[in-house]
Amino acid sequence: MIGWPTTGRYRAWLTACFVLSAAGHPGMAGQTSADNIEAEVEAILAISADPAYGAYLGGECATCHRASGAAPGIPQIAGLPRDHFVLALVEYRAGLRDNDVMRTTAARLKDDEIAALAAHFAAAD
Amino acid sequence: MRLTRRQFGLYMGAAAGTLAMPAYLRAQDKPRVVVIGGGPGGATAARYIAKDSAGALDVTLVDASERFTTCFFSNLYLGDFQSFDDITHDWSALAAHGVNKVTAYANGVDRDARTVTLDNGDTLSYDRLVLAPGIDLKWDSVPGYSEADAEIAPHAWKAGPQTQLLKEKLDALEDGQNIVMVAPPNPYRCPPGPYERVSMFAHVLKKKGFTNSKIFIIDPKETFSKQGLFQEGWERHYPGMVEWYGPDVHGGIKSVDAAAGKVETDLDVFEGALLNIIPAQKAGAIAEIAGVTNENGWVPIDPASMRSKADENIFVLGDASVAGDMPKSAFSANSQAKVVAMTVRGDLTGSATFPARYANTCWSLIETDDGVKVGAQYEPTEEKIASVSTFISQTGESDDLRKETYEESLGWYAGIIEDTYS
Repeated sequence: MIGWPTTGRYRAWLTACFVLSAAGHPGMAGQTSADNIEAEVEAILAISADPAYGAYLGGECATCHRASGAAPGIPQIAGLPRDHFVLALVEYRAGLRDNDVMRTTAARLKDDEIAALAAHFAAAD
Repeated sequence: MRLTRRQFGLYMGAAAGTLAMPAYLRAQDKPRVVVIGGGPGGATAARYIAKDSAGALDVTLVDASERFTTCFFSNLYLGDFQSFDDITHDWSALAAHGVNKVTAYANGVDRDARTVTLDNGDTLSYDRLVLAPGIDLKWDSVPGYSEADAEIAPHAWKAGPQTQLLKEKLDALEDGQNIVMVAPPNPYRCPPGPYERVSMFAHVLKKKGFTNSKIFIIDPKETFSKQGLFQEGWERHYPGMVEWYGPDVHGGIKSVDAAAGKVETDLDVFEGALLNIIPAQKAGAIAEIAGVTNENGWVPIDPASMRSKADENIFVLGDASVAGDMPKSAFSANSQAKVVAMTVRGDLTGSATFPARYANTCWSLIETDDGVKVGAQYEPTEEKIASVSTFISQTGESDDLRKETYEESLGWYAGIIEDTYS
């Protein structure tokens, strides 16, 4: 397991960071609060995913996230539970997690695409 | 309408006849896909077409070699970060997906008959043809440098024996001997490649304790990929060793004398015990033979599918294609291959197709644990494949981040090799 934190403590810390940094950006705090992230994740988990679309989109991920498991610097995503997967992409998309490649990748994923990918990788061996 | 006994017997006989037919003839009912070129573009396309169509398609992959040495990461072999075996692979695992690998050189395409001829005399029929032939060098592009000279002054821009030759010459250098690189003009395979290679040259010489050797880069380009990052890195790790000359300074290359180790420019004659001459490039030969290239020698494609503009049954991907904002890289080829696979399967089996999307990241190693990257997401527009968002490493980044970036590239290599050859 890759152990991405999903506890309330982590969320509370993130909220604090963003409330502080949002001082100069009035719109940001509202967009990136922990509650909003949680709501986004719930909404995506509720979408009924298209498996064929998930398989197609998942091809792009396979280049780095190899099917057989983790490799240096690149976590395993095959078999990742849907809620972990969705949280990770939502947080990359919101700029809350570091890594240029993942932020840019997630930035262009819409909710239904994240849902499709999550379903695909949860079912992968 | 009731079946008469005679009709029934005919039907049964026909069915029995079909079952009695040998497998290779029955297989001729399957739509046929021929892929030429077994690199990260072609092998990925063949693999995905075969594995995702679950036996519905007949897939043949043609490559003239028995093994494939990746040009990507070959610089790391030059720098002693990878062995030659580490970067050399074969196609044996693809058979399990249903890919039939043929070791031969494709030397003809008949687009009307839809056949490919091979240098072993065989002819392959296709319903869809995928060309992923990589690049060929334009031998007349550097004055005084010919194909024969590549044995003395290797380009090593197609990996394999050329890379090993370059490594031998690099390792044979003595302190005080110089390296002269002639970099290629745009467009070419792997934009940051020449500069990562220079970094690897410098790394090897520095590690040996050399203090009197210089590396000269004579560049036809005014700027180059990740220039700020490389120049910062060379200053930091190899001060005084690397000198880059743009066209404004060198004034043009007049002539290369490979045997004498000299590159003459308008400004001066640069001498080196090792010359690495990287000529201008074009699509691999089969593309021109197939009649799908433009006047520059590259293949225009439909951005939404990678179909060649000249023939809708022929897909071209990877370095050979004109892929808009995407660089000529292994990552790009592997990304484009998936769009090709989806589209071919859609054409031939009616499977679902989705809007094309593409991505690329290029990692470069400057010194041990000092890696940088540049990349983007892309989507098709009317005009070309266009970048949607980009990212690039920054000068002044922490050592930790540079180390992470390098390690990420190792993970990527393991991933793309598995995605292409397993």
